[in-house]
Amino acid sequence: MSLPKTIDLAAMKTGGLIKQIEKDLFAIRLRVPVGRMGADHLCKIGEVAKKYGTGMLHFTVRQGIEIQGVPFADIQAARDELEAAGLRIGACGPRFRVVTACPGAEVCPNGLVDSAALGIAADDRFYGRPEGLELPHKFKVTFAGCTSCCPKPQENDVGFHGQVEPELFEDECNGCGICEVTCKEGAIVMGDDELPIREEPKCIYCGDCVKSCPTDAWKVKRTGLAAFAGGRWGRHPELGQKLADFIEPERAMDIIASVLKFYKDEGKRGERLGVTINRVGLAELKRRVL
Amino acid sequence: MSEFKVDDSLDLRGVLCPINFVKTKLKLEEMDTGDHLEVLLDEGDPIANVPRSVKEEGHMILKVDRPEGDYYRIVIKKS
Repeated sequence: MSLPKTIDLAAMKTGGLIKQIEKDLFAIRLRVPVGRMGADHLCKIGEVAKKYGTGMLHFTVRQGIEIQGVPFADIQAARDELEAAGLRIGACGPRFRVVTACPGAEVCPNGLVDSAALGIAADDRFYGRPEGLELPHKFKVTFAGCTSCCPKPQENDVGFHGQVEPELFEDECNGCGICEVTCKEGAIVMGDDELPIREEPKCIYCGDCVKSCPTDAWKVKRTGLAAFAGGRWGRHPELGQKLADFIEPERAMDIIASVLKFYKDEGKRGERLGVTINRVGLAELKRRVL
Repeated sequence: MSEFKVDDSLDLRGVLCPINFVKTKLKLEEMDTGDHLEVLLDEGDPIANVPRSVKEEGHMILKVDRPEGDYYRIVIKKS
């Protein structure tokens, strides 16, 4: 295998090139923040895959795309062509990874916050930046638009989901009872006066009552993010622990920055954040982050 | 329910999401503004989803009740 003169070895070290089992073949991992991509970019990826690779693509579990079967000698040419079209190479290794998210409030009827926009903001702020490099291990972040948690915030090193606190304006309620039958948590019961009563301890702040109310008597008192830290999958899965509820969305980036600093300061090489938290303590993480 | 007149009725018991919503939407399109449509829906997903989608289309849910058994009856006012 000859080394092409133009290969950028420094760029190879930042990841995104994955050796395949076949001799001399690599997969090129693309950076696709929040799994969102224009159709023109997708066409370009197809072109490059057919020109340099085997013509096969792999859609990763973190919403990325990998071009399979690119010979080592063609990596630089393939990269140049992708980058000229505005496509970027993704990461592997002990770094802040490409951020995932669901489509969120912009698209999804269940969305409470614009998770895709938050994910893109986090990706811009941390991906490939000093704060997100030279970490003990990989570091995954996701944003879910609602309490359904489709992108699995509790399985990421730091994960967020949207939440709303409902508030009843009794004068606007027509007593239809749809909130009672819609609430999956059984947190709303109709009182004798035909007004709904919300039992705070059962409420998970999903906002279904607000969305289903025909007269808009249930309104959003406040919108925020629930934050989790220390989740992971892999060989020893563990769910992330709750850091806080109702974080203002604009504070999410500060939370991530503080957790990254904690991880850099306390994490041992090769351990995921959850292991660090188990050793140092959730209370200590909260003290430094919130 | 006697306080609401009913101009038309749909029995969507046994009809799954989102077909039940589509049928409701098509029926409402045939009706005049201000008309009332009565719809029978199963408990579970149908009663949670259909009224919400009807609201998102801009119509008004006037009443929900549970006459007997495992279904609900809603009255929609077409906008």
